[in-house]
Amino acid sequence: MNICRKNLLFLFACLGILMLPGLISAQIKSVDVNLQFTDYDVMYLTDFVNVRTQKLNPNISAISMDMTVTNPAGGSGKIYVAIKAMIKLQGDNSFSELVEGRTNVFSINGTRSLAARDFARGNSDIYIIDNGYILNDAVKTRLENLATTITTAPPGVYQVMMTVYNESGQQVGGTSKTITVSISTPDQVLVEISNPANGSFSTNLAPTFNWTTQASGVYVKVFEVGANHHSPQDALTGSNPCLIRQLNGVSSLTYPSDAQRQLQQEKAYVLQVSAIVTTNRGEVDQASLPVVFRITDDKTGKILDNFFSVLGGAAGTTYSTLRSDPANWVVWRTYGGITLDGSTITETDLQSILNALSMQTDTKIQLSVENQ
Amino acid sequence: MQKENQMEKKRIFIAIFCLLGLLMLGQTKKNDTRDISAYVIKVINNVNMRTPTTGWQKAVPLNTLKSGYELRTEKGSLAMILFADQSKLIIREKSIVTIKGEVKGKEIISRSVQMDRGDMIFNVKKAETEQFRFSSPISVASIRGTQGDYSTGGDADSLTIAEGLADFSNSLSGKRQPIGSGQTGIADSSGNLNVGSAYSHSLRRIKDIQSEGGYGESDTSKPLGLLAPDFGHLLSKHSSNVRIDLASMQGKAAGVHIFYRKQGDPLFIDLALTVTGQTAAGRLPAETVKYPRLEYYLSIQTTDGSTLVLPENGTTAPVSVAVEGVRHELRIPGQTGSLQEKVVVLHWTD
Repeated sequence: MNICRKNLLFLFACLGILMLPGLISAQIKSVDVNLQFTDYDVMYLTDFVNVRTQKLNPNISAISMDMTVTNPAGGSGKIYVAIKAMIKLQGDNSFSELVEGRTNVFSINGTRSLAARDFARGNSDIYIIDNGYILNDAVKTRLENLATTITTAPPGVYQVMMTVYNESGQQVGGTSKTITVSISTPDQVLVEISNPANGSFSTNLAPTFNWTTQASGVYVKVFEVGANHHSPQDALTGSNPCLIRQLNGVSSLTYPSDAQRQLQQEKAYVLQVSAIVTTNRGEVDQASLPVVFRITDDKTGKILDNFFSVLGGAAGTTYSTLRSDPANWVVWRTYGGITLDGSTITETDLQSILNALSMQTDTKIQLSVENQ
Repeated sequence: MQKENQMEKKRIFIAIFCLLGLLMLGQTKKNDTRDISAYVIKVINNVNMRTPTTGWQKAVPLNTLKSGYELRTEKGSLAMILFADQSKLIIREKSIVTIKGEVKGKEIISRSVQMDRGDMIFNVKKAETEQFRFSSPISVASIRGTQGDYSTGGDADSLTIAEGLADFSNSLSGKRQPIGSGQTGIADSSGNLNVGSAYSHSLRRIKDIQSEGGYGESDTSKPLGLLAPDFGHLLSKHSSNVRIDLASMQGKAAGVHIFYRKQGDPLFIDLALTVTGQTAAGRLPAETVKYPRLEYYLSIQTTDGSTLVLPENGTTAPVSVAVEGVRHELRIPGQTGSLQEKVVVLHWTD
């Protein structure tokens, strides 16, 4: 992409921060400048600059520069705007000036709002004049090189200063805008859930979830696992969430009492935290890996733990492996009751049977694990 | 009044007469002697016996041997004889012995075994007065409370004592010497009688044969012969009837107990069987019938007061019979952390 110098100036005048204030007229003494620019985590450069024509995209939205003559209030006259763009790309130690220039003198009648289309349009009464235009070719080339590999603004800090002068050259207003682009693509945003551990179980009906991410905004979602769900994905797509929360600037959440549904004992849930990545093309969710957690007192599991710890041998090893991470096997009644020779037995019965087996030291016990 | 006195005198006379009669009867009984009897409690392969009035016939466990009865073991055969005082003789292959003796009540008046040829291991219980005599054409051994081996081969006899003391004499020369523990005496047809230290392997052999109940490779297929209990089909934790055919004891069984246990258990359970005619029967409670094998031995009280333990070393080496196990399956459904259903299945047999 070859970014022509005027467009580059426009890009930082509009894109990085579309902006141009200015008021003219000898009578104008003060202009209030408001630069409207939405902060994005990711900005697609091609949406700002037409790669083929290397002209500013006239359809850039959410970027505008509003100027209001405040002295005299609502007065009219002529102004021009000086623009200076600074850049500090990721890895740089200091800012470098990218471009500096100014517009022609144009009229303002009380207020004037400038948008990208004002610069893109060929017949606009506002344009960049050649006099005083400075372009840092080294930085420009560096940006152009980056633009050939990624379509988004390279990570870094972008700063634009806009100063409004009246026709006499007196400064009557101005503003500046600093934008930090931390990532170049949404894919770079990661979310990792650190608590609960995948496959874990506890009796806590209000567990605390913790996660880490570069994004400030997240969605926290919890889904109940149904009897017909055989994977976390099944639960994510096959059931209504028990909890959906959008959070900003936090990295933990204790299951709230006002959630859509409360957690219940002897049930499994899937937690997913999605980072919200803002781009000029809209929000992109970057989801964490789903984490399964279960609410159970695991009473039967403890009975089995005691039995197999004493039993030892191959059966004990197999059971221990099954119980340990990552398998994290727990007794689960949803799949049916415990049976002895085909008849359902209670937990008390199981305890009695295992106690009796423990006493029969010469009885060979074989353990197998069946996948259903 | 006079009539009453006469009646009283008659009563006193009758009473005195009866008392004297009873005393005389008791005296008569006490003076009664009868033939000693012993039992064949183990038979391996080809063993025959005969009485003074019958020819040779096959010997089977619990055959009674009385005074004058002969027992013959063929090559590779063995017989074990048990006396009422639990003295035991193991008649080894190619032997011919004759049992002799008398008892008065429970007291053994005399007891001897004439051995024309062969070899026998003995374990004779110590009695207060009576001595057990072994004899051959060459020698006589008087035994009391002794374990050892007595053999005769035609030209010489030997007596080895593993425990206790015996008096050994050469019948041809009249020479006589005591044989102590760990010694062997040799009496030959020339009248010699020599005593020396026994070979260690001879002493060990005596112990081994006794502990193994005869030969090491004893016949375990039918260790109790005709007295083998019929348990039917033994199923673990199911009660079972047990029945023993006592016909071979010819009415001499007064009481039968079966001592049984699960294989390897330390203690036997004593079950008294009900003797009805020629059958002893009982029922093993379900909780006592356990996989994989049931070990047992029999204790039979005979009408003459003897107690036979079958097999004779049953308390330490009981017979066993298979108990069919009941296979169990315990299924415990569960879930992995990745939401897979996995069932833990336990199998065992008891």
